[in-house]
Amino acid sequence: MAEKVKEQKRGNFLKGIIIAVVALAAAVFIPQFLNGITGGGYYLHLLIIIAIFSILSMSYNVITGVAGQSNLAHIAFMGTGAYISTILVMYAGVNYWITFFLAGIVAMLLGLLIGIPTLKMRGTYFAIGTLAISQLMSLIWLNGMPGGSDGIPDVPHIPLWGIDFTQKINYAYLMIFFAAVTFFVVLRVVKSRTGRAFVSIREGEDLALTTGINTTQYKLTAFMISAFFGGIAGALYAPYMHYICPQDFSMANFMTVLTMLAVGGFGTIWGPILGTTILTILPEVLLPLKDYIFIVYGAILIPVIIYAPRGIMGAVEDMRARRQARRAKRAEV
Amino acid sequence: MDFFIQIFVNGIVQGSTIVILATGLSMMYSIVRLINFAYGEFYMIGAYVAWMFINQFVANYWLGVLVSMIAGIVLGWVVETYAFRPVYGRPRMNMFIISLGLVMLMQEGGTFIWTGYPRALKTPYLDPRQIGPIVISDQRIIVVVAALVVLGLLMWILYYTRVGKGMRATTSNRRAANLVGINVPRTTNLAFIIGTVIACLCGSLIGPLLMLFPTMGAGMNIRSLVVIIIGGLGSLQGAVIAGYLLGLAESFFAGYLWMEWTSVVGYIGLILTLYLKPQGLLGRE
Repeated sequence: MAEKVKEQKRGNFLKGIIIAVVALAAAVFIPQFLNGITGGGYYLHLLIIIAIFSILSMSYNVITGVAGQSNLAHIAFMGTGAYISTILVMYAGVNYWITFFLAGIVAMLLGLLIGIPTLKMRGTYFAIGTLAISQLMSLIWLNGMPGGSDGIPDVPHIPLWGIDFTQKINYAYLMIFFAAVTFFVVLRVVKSRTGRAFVSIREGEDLALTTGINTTQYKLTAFMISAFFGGIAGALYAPYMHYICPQDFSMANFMTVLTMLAVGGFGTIWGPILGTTILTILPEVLLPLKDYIFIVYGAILIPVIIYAPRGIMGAVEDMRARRQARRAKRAEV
Repeated sequence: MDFFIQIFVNGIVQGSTIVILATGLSMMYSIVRLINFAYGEFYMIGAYVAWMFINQFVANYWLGVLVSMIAGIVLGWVVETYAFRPVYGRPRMNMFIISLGLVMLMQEGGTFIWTGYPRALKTPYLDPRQIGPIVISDQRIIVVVAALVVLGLLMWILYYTRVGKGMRATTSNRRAANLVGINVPRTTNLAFIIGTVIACLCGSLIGPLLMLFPTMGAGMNIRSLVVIIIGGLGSLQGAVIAGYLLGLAESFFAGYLWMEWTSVVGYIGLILTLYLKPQGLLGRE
């Protein structure tokens, strides 16, 4: 028995290495390939957007998918990160990489402001509290920030060892790197004891509480991790786009992130990336519908939640579990 | 002093709008524990249906209001039956995501049908009238009266009719209500429909006082959500008090302080409530 477990572990390790090598090769060659083909610049842009929104949806997954708390302020964290970073860089002359971390930390503090009173209680308060905070932030960007509704143009490029960031391909590598970092951090958290506590809160808060899990504290932890990466996604978004405005972080964009996660699968590891990829490419495929893409999103979101509440990856997982159960049953007979 | 009284009256009008919406929302919340983020969208659709009927067909204003309420019945029935009913009994997050999906569908659908161009809803009651020191139009008086009428009707339904008794029973315990022979799905459906009808009525009454545009529901929706939290979740009386308070506070804030920051009042009120008295003014939870 023990040997079998060992073997399986070795098998998993090998599988992990193979996946890592393939992913690394893909990460290196796909941007090169897209850069080479004609009109590849636009595809490269899509790739970068997928990477940034993957960071966003992966971190959103931690609080909403894994810990099961309905957060509506995630795009506000991204906006906070983007505004903090941009304003400090442009108006105070702070080094970009300092503002990069500050963006995450300020987003986290903003999360704490609403998380502390609402996460003590159940679902509803948290949802409405985060909605209010996201509206409050967009009001602040609209009326209290330079540029107002016109936004801030000419956000400077990222300074990094003199790399020429006017080349899109360099941005692509950078964003893929940060998406990978986020992926591994989220993976480590979810697979750890803390991650199991998050899942137990989602599956039954009362039970989690009675088994000695400090649910409030764990929910706050999940929220802080989530908000931190949300802020960082914003800090990466601003210099790439060169321009930020309150519209970029509106409720509509939040709905996009939510749909990405719902399609990919709440609480799954690969779901956010899959969902982000599908929903970034979808508007390009449905070009005639691009102006009304939110109708499409709404029409996707509702049936997905009704018929496959855990999205594509959740459905795949369920199918695999069923197959395994069937095989085990057959082996018994 | 005249300015003060005028602002007070404006606050009461604004408060009445919020109160009408908040009572409907509060009712939906208490019957299925549903936070309906799409509630403001019902209000928007109500206003647009009235606009279509009144402005396009040159019809009587009150006929338009009636048509809008009938649209509310259809809307409520469809939404409850096909969107929300399949997810009752699942984790509450499913319902919340569905309501967000409805927001997208209805807002963008509204933009698709009616375009984003602001529309003005016609009414014969817009002429301002001087009463003592204040200036007020009949339409505003209608809104204030309508809030009281809606409240009275709702109280009457909830406390003096058989159906209302069933609703209150369903609110306090779904399973037990089912056991004593209340048709819970139908009661839920009915409560939902009453909610949407109230929203559509509100939309068609407020419509003439503002410009109609497809995202008009969002701001009102957040206000009414804030109000039902400040008043105490599930408490109708609390929502009424908080609604008038918020209307007055916003009006005074806009009148004496900074106009463009008006909606901050609600958010600050919400955050303060959550820190100081999380169960709300009259909440029991």
